[in-house]
Amino acid sequence: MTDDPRDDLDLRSLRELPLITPRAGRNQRVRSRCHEVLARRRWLSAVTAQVLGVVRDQRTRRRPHPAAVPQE
Amino acid sequence: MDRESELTLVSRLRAADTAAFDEVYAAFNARLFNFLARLSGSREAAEDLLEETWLRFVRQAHRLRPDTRLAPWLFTVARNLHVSYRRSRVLEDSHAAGLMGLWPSGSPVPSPFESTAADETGRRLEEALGALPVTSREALLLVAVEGQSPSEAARVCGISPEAMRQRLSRARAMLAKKLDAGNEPLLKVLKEVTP
Repeated sequence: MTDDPRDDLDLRSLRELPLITPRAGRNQRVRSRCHEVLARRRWLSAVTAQVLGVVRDQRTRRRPHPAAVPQE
Repeated sequence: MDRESELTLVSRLRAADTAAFDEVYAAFNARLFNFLARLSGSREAAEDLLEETWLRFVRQAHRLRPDTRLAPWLFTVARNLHVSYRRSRVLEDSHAAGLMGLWPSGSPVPSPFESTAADETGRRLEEALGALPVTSREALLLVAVEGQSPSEAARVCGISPEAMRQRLSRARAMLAKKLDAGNEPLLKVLKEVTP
């Protein structure tokens, strides 16, 4: 057998099996749940970025600028 | 889906982009459902497993590697969930008698599946597939129905490409034997369902 499944006549015949479709109502519910998870992730990323930004600002403010350090 | 579009989608998914998810969902939902339905032999089980596959996908989306290939990722998760489902239920290896579970119930008009499954050849092929051991069934579904290469299917199933080739070879022989168990010779059946 080669690596290409299309070379195999027996296997190719299975591609003709009909498509079974999931129920529409169930699909809609799953998509909504996934959208909620993604929305939560976006919110979390935004909050994390804000918190990190604040922390970075505080650190920058605490550390004196190199030019402000008196030279001997 | 070409590779460039796939990489762009992955990048957007890493940023939790809902529209990107919808595109992936549209491209893979029916394919994953068919895989799970034929693997489990149950519409209800397939719907539950499909839901869990998508939820895992979105929960992990921000951790996807930038070069992730979506099809193997999704089919690996779906397949592993089915393995866990079988372990939890201690299910029998084949589901020949459970074929009817895939059919939508109470539908006023026959679905494409019902119409085609009513066809003798399609019914026999479906039954023969359902009667195979689950490892053979998943190999055939991934390679023959999904069009993955044996190497890709091997990665999904967590086995070596050589082991997958052997599994496929055995599966094909078993499928032929089951189809031949009917009255019609296998080749005639295959000609009928091959374009």
